Amino acid sequence: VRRLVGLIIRLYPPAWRERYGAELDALVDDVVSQRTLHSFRLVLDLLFGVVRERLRHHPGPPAQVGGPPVFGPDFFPYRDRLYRRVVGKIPSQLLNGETALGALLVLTRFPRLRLFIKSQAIGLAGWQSGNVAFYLQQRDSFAFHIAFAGSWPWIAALLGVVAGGWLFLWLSGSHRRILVISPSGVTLIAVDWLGRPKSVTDRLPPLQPQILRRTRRWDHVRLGTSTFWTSGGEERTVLSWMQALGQPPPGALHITN
Amino acid sequence: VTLKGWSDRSVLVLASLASGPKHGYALIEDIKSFSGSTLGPGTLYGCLSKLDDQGLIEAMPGDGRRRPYRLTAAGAGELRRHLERSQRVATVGLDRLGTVG
Repeated sequence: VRRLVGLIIRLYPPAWRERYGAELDALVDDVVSQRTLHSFRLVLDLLFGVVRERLRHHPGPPAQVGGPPVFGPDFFPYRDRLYRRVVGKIPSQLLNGETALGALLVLTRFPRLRLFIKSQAIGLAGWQSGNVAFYLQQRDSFAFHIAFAGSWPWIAALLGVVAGGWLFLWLSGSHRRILVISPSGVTLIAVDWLGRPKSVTDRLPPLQPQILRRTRRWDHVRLGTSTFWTSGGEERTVLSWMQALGQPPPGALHITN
Repeated sequence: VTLKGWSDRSVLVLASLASGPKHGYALIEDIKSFSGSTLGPGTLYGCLSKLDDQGLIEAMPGDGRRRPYRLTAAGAGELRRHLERSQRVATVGLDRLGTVG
């Protein structure tokens, strides 16, 4: 149980874990050794805690007005941008492919439909899966923050949609049962588990890591789009944050490859 | 700071800290002793982090893994206002129940 609890604590948002993780870990040690709570209740309590903190908005530190502009290309070395592009692209392309394949599998159940219409529908489905993610990313709304601020809710939602679709096909007796495992979902989890390159955040002054901490996983959301592939999701997000914090947008933000 | 969406747990944590600084496990034990409720670690730290963000409590230097928390002046003020309001409601409610009975 202690090992499982340790894994659950790792699911808390990184910023929260950095501040309270060690204390929570120590408290769990006390609770387990004193048998204060039943193991099942302890696990449930921590799982609810993870969901609560993932959905909660964590205010950042106060703005440091007048600081030097720091988001120049020097802070985003090409190797980091390349890495982000690769890890962002792989799951997005896989998701597009999965959606198109899903459409194909569904459309094969309608043999009387014309081939041209089928091909257009398949293309549209794959293309739209990328577009939906793109427009969601552009909608910088409250609902967007709730859904995509952390990567785990995003992964859970994706897995729900994709695995749900494949489960339907599996239950319907399709011989393609192996596809129940969503390649894009698995890739996203792997990427999330492996984490992000740290060299970008290591170079930034105090305020910027706080901002980047919230944006560093946005590559996950950029599915099948090429408009903002210069610096991950950071370009727009950092601008929004800087404006919200009362700082003028830095002039050196726009990065090109 | 105004307390919005106050849960009972936040009140329990603040009421416990009103008697002095405590770390996580001491809070759980104290709350259990005066309210009968046993808060889980996730629930407790959810409350602590929220109250910390609101400036109602603050962490004190500890031994690293176990940091005690204490009420701030704002937290004490908010707790007092909340309890006085609750007491008024409780008094009126009990009076009326007595009248009906």
